Amino acid sequence: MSVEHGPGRLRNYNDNNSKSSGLITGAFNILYGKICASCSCKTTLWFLGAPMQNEWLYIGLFLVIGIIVPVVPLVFARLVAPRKPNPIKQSTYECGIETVGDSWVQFKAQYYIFALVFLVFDVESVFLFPWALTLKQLPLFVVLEGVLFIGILVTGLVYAWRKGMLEWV
Amino acid sequence: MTFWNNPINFISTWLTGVLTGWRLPAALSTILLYVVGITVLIIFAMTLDIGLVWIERKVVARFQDRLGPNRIGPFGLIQPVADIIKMVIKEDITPDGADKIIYNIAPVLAATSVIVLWAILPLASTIYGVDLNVGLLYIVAAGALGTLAIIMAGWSSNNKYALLGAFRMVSNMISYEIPMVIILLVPTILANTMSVRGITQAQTGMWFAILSPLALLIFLISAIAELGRSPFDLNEAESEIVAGFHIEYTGMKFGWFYAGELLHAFTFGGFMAILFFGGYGGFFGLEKLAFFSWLNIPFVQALVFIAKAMFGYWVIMWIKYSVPRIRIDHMLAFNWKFLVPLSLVVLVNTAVLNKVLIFLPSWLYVLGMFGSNLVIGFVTVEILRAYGRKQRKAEQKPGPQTQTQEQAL
Repeated sequence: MSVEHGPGRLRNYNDNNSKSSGLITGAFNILYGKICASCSCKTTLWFLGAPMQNEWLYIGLFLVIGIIVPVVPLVFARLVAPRKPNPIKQSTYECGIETVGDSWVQFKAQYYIFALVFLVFDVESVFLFPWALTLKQLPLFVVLEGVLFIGILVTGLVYAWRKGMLEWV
Repeated sequence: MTFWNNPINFISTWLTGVLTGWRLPAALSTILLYVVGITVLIIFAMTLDIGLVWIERKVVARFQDRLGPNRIGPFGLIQPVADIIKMVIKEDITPDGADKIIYNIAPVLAATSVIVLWAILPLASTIYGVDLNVGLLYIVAAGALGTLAIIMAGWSSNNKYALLGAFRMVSNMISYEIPMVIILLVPTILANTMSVRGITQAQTGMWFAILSPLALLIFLISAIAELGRSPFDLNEAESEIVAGFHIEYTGMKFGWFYAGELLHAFTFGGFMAILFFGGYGGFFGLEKLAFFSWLNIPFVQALVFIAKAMFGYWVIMWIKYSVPRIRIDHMLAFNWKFLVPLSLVVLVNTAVLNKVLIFLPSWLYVLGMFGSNLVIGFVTVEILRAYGRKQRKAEQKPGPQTQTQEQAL
């Protein structure tokens, strides 16, 4: 992978990648649409290259159009709707009472311990997806090992429960 | 390959031919094709959304013994269009103290987070946006985006009610998301794939709703919590914090929060249909019979899917308009002390039984899965009942007061 390659020649960049330029190749892979180095997607230089079946390109376009569609009525409303601002109208709504102080204050979230437990569980439940996905191919022994992992999770939950973590403080 | 068998492929082949005729590069024509397809899909979703406004108002009226909109057009059908016109021509107010950039991004993000879910929603066997092999994780990710929009709206409004709404939304998120993620593993195990299309196809013989009714129940509860609908509508809670996170929004910006919520509810009805009721596929292999072969036509499949999604949507509405709001600490306790353990038990049960019973004849397999769920459900109810009895006894001990109250009643 060298710099003097023109954009059109990048199609074969994977053939001559040396060990030293692995990082650069990876960056090019991501930049030019080949998300994973080892997958079978045929994408090359996505704006010039051969026909491709890149589902993540579809998701990306979906995100862009999904942002444009809600913006269009808002822009239209800006053109059509009246705009007569005044200080009373622009003030913070608090059921008629004049607002006191700023609302961007430090606020005690009484469920913060729940949030800590949540973080642990959220990370650990991700590890279960590969296990669940390959369950059919796995022997019963490995399935029970997964159950053991869940058992450790449950032990953690029971510990947190007994220690009074799952209480409103 | 005709139009009726594979409409998307038919149109895309034709359009590719046209674009190649214009000597466009292949990649560019693919992108153009994607853009056309995505625009059509999103416009379909938005049109459906307009219909949902009417359906929601009619159904809530029926639940509350009213008539609902019935003046504009036949049965009030033009009412949502009138609503949209009204919202567009209303003045758009941004409060002086608000963080203007985040304040304006939030409603767009609220709508986008729902729209992106439609990318993986398979309407029929050949009508779908994209078939991701990590579809279920994509659902969770897009759901988090919607939560983020609500938190952004609540924080940036610089209003105390809105801030409380955002705080409550965070509590919603940290309570429902674990049961949701764990229970999404159950269809993954049963179908052996995470792509929503694969899960649909795995249910041609038997719906997962029958293999694991408890998983369906937990998914429904956590989906309602993610939507922030009653009984988990703590982030809006009209009677406590006026309108919660969208208190300062007017006009079309409020409209996007409202439309986004309705479409979100429908989309989750759709995912419930996909994960547990066989999605676009018919009813227990009925479509394999020659007499019912018309069920395999893509447009009929799409109708079947929308009917099933409407059923899920109707259940969510039914719960919304019959159950009172849950208190915030009760919600956290309910999710962490009841839903998380139960979903872990259901997951272990599904994993082990699926491994052990798979060698048995299929009717025994189905019976075993269903029966084990029944047993778990029964034991859970018994534990809860015993706990309730204990609690009532503890309350009655000090209580001549409670007894006199009961006697007075």
